[in-house]
Amino acid sequence: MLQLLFALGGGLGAVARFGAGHLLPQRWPLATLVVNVTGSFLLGALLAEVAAQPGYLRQLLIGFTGGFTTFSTFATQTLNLGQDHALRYRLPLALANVVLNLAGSVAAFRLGMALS
Amino acid sequence: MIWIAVFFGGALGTWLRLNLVVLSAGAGVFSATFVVNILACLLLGWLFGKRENMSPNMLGFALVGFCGGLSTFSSFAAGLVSYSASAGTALALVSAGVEIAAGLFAAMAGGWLAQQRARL
Repeated sequence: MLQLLFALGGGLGAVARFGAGHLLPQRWPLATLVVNVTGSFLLGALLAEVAAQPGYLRQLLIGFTGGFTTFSTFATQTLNLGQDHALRYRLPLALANVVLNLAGSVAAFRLGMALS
Repeated sequence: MIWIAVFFGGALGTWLRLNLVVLSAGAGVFSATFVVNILACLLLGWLFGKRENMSPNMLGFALVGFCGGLSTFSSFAAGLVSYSASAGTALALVSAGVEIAAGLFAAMAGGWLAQQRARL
């Protein structure tokens, strides 16, 4: 049952990420940054509730954060940022994307933990 | 239709990661999450190189759904925060750098493999 909830949450998370990709502009990989930061915040809030029983909703939401956030799309987009330009333009873009995703997600996770 | 493909890909990828991570619990900072993320980067890099031969539904299932669900950024961030608490900020930063560099390298290697297969 818990396995099914995790899979269901993951599927819903992937659909929500796909939807975010349609809503947000395509030029900069903004959708991936937004889902990674908000998903990390949600996971932090969920994990902070130490006393919470392993409820169905909690399991579903933890699955959701896993399907919602993505590392592989982040890596592929980082490699392909500004791919029509010279390397001296692509390197700072890639570095900025790495720093924004990493710092944003860690800070959001901490904030989620602190707030719940 | 493509939304259904994304849903099933995401459900399968997330479910698979749950089981891989539980099987190897307690592996430390270079954890099962890290290994699964790197595998997903390799697979996505390869599929991304092949994307012109794939139908939109297959792209939704495999790239957006399965690879996206198999890899995770939220658990990666959670692992870094707990590693930073036990080992200090400096080591956590180094491990974050190593893990992201490995992910970029794996995605690059996947793209390279896709080109090699295309020549055959």
